Amino acid sequence: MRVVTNSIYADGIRAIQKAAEAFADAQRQISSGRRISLPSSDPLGSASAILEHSSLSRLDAFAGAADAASYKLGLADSALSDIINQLSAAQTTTLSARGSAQTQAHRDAAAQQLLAIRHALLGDINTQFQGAYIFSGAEADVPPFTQTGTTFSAYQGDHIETHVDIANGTSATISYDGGDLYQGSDSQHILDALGALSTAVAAGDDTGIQAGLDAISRAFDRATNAQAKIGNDLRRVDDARLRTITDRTGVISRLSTIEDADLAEAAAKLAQSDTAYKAALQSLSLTGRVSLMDYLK
Amino acid sequence: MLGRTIRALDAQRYGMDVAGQNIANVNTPGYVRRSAYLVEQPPHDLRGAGGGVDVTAVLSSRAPLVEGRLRYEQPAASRDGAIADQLEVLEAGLGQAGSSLDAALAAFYNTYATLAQSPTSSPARQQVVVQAQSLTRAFNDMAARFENQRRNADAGIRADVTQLNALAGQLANINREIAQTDPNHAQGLYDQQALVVKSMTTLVDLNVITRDDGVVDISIGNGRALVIGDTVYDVRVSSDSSGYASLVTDGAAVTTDVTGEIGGGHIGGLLDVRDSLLPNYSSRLDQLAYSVATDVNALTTTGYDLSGNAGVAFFDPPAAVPGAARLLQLNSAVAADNRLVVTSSTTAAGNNDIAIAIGRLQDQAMTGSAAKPVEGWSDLVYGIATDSAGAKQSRDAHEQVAHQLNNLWDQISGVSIDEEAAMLMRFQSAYEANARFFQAVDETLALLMRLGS
Repeated sequence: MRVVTNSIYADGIRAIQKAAEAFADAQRQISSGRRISLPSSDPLGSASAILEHSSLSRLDAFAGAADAASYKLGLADSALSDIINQLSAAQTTTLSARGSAQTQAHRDAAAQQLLAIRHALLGDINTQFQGAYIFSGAEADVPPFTQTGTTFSAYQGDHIETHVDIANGTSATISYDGGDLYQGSDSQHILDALGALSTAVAAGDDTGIQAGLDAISRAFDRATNAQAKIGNDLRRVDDARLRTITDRTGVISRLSTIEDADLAEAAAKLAQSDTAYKAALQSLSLTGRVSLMDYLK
Repeated sequence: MLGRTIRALDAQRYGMDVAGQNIANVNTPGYVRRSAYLVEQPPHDLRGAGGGVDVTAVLSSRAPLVEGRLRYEQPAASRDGAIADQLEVLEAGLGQAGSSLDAALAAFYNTYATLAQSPTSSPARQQVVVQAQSLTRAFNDMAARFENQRRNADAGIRADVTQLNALAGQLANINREIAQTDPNHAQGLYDQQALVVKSMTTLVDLNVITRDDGVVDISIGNGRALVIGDTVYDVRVSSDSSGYASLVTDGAAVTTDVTGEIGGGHIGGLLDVRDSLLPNYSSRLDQLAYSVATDVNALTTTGYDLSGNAGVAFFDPPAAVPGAARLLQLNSAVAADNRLVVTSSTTAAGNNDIAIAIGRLQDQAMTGSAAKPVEGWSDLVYGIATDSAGAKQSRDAHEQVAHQLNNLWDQISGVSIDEEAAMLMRFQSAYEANARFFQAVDETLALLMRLGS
């Protein structure tokens, strides 16, 4: 085989370029910490990374939704606790004013107490979060009940309870049907029932008092049922949060495998390519140093 | 004897001259190593030992087989190289995973899902508007990148055609000179001819026919003449209705569009990128934008805005799939008034079922596609990356073969300085020996002259 000068130089330059390319790639991986420079360096990895980033974004959104739902559920739970307390207080107040032994003054005081409780219940049902009523169903901009003088409106919201997604296939309720809570299948809502009860207590109307106590009892049951449901939702939110955290850890781990450079491997490649690069340079610099021309006289 | 010796001295000096010529052109591209062809001369009469030596020709160590093989490999390497170079630029414009169109898509859907938490919240509604505008900009920008890349490829094609025509002109001139020159003195012209043809093969795949007199005829595509002898049939560029270059050749009676006939070389690669790959990518991007907009609009137009009015299309409805990514825009009325953002299928302001449904669109296959929105983008990136990686691999493979062929050509036709040094020494020694012989003859004749005086 004839060995010619141009081939020697062409091969030398080619070897230098290949070694320099490997050196630059290892250096890029170390300095950037990223394994993939362009999608073509790992087409499947690049496509997978896009999907994993999307999953991560979705999980973060779920986490945010779970936090918001948790706060709203806490708010509703707190309002329901107060409603239950107020209803218990109404029962106690009514029972304490019942019977022929009670004086009119005692009955009048109890009647006033019931009206105060009714006012507190109105405040509880009209609880808002960032300007939206949480017990109006989907009619978030309408208060569930309003009071004009001594008259209370009928339930003004709707019966649609709204939800948000807190994980794939899991949602949590964030607004409630206040009509179902305060009236249910009764002929009048609890606010009107307490007004009638207050009148009955003041008048010593035992039949009216009993009807009022029955209405309170039913409202109590509805409130405790609603609170139990919220408790379930809160547990589901916590479960979803844990699941999201676990999923997120998995996604980040997979992303790291796809995108992050193996620094130890990259450092080894850097050292290896550095040696190859220097060898290629040295090799080319030696080429042509010795020639038959040197021996011509 | 003296005459024979003088011819011998001339022959050896000529041999040294050829070696010097080889050394002088050791770095000249396309130069083929020469060698002096020495032939013994017969004796003039029966008593003579011989007529000495003479140089009858200068031979070039040509490698037609290797050159023919290179003409096949070079266009393939150049074609894949052009595709790889173009797609590498395109890839850089795709952005990193998690910060490109995929991020804009995810952010849009997730922001809409977040609005479901507080459908009456003005900041949350405005955030949806902002993210939607980011999404439309991301689509518009990506479509513009694809279009710019097509324009770049087109500009490259035009520049290549200019270069091809210039090379064709050079080849025609060389052909003319070869036809007028004694073949024994045309070695330099043959070198230039081979070099020009080799340069042309980087631009386009050629059909090369070499005539007996050394003139080559070149055609491209389906036998479209480019150079016939000393006549050039320029490839002309005419712009189509979109402003893209079509390549035409003028035959004897007809003008032919040869754009579709060129598959190899740098021009073939650029044509493939411009007319096949990029339109395919653009079409997929358009389909993605069209599906995203259509699916969102299908939900918003069935709902109600915050004021209880019938919902409007969230995005300006794309008229057709082609151009959808470039033209995608948020409905200007929605952009101006975030109360028009639809979240509810009823007039209840706090209803969020549409907002939830739009948030869930990211988990569902799009209309007209089996893929989810981000999957649509991921599939497109994968397609581009695979095409690019394939072109790079193919280019490397062809370049490797071309490199080996070039080495083989060098082995046959290249100049070795050591070899030329040896040739110098060889001819120098021969010259010295002949000079010594001349001296001996001269001294013998001088002796004869003295005897006679």
